[in-house]
Amino acid sequence: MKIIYSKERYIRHSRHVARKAFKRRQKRKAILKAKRRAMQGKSIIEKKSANKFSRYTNITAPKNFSFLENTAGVISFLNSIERLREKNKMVYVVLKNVETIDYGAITVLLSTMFKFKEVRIGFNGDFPLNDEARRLIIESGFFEQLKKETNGRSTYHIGKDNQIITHARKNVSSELGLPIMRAATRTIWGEERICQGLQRVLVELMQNTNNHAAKDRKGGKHWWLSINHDKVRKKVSFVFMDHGVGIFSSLKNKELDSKWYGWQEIIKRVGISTDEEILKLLLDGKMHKTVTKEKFRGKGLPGIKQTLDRNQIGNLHVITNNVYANVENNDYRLLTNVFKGTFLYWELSEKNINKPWTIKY
Amino acid sequence: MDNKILVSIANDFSITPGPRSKEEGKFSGEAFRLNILEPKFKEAVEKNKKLVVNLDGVLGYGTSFLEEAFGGLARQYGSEKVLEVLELVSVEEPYFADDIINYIKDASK
Repeated sequence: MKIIYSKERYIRHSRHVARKAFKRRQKRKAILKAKRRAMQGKSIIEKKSANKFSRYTNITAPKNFSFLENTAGVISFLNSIERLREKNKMVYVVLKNVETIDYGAITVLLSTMFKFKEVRIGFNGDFPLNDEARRLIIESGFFEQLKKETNGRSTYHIGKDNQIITHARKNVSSELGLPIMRAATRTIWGEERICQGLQRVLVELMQNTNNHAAKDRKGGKHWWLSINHDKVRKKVSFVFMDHGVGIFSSLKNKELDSKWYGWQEIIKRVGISTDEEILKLLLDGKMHKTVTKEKFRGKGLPGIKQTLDRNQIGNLHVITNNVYANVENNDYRLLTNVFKGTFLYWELSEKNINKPWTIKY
Repeated sequence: MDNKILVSIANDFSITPGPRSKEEGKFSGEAFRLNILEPKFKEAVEKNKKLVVNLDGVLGYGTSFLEEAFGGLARQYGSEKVLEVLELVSVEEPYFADDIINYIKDASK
C-alpha cells in the first residue's frame, strides 16, 4: 500500500481531487455569502418567504398593472410567465411595486395561476404595497386560490358576492346569466331589471370560447368571467377572457370547407390588410358580408357590437392577439406584442337600456 | 285560439336559452327544436293550425340558439312551409322576430 500512495501518479490524482473539492467549497461559500448579504436588513418573515421560494423564478409585475391602460406592459409580463410555464418552471409573481391595478389584470392573473395549478407547477406571489391595489387583489380571492387544489375541475367560483366574482367554465352556461343579471341590476337600479343585451353578450362569448378557443376540439379551453360591482357609481363591470388561440389565429385556421376559407385574399382585394382594420371590419359585421357575400345577420362576435350600438352595454374593449380596441371610442390599435387569447371588458350602468323584471322562476 | 298552437319558450323550455347544440351546454337551440318546436310544428301542420311561438319572458338569446332552432326547422321542412305555419310574438324585443325570419330565409340557401 505504501508504494501506491507514494507513487507520483497517485499524488497528482489526489491533488486534482483536492483542488476540485476546494473550488466546490469556495463556490458554495460565495453563494451562501451572497444569500446572507441579500437577506441583510430583512425581517424574519421576509427571510422565511425568500427561503421557501428560493427555487422560484421572480417575475415583476408592471407598476401600472392595468390591462386596459398598459396593455403592452401587461402582455409582456404575461408572456414572461408563459415562457416559464412552458419550461415547467415555478414562478413567483412580484406584485409589491404595483401602484395601479384593474379587474382585467386581476382576471388575467387568476386565470394564469390556474394554468400553473392545472399542471401542478408552483405559482406564488406577494402583496402590492399600495393599499388600493392590495385591497382589490385580496377581494378577488387570488391569494385564497393560491393555497387551493384545482383537481382538474371545469368549473370554479372565486371571490365574494357583490365584489369581484370570477367564474370559470368550459361549456356554455346560459343559466349563469340569471344570478349575474339579478345581482348586477340590483346594484345599478336597486331592483331586478331585464338587460337582454347582457345575456346575449355572455352567451355569445361563452359559445365563441367553446367553439373556437382550442385549435383541435370544442370545449377545450376555460373561459373566465369576472364581475365587479361598484355600488357607489352604480356600475357593474365585466371581464370575459380565455387563453385560446385568439380571434385572428382562429380565423387563420379556417378549413377548406368553411365559407370563410381564403378570407385573407378577399379582404386584401378591398384594401384591408392590418389586424386592427380586420377586427373593426369583423365587429361591424362587414367582414362577413365582404367574405361570404351574404347579408350580415348579427351572428357571433359582431352580435356583441350590436348590443353596444343598441346601448344595451357600454365601454366595450376587445384585446386579442396583437390588437387593442376601445370599441365605443372607435380606437383600434396594433400592439407591439401578442396576447395569446381573447379579452373583453364592458360595463353596465344606469344609462343602458333595461326593462322591468317579468321573469318567472 | 282554436286554430293556433301556442309555445312559450320561457314557460315550456327555459328562461335562459343557451347555445346552439346539446354538446355545448344546457338549454340549447337543438334541444328546443327537437323536444318542443318540431313536435309542435308537426302537430300544427297535421291539424292545419298556426304555430305561435312567444319569445318573451326570457333573460336573452344568443344568436346561435335562434338560428339552430328556427333555421334548423327550415332546413328540415323548407323556409316557405315554416314561414307559412309559424307566427312569432316578441313584444319585449321586437327585433328578434325579424332576426328569426332572416334565419329561416337564409336556411334554404
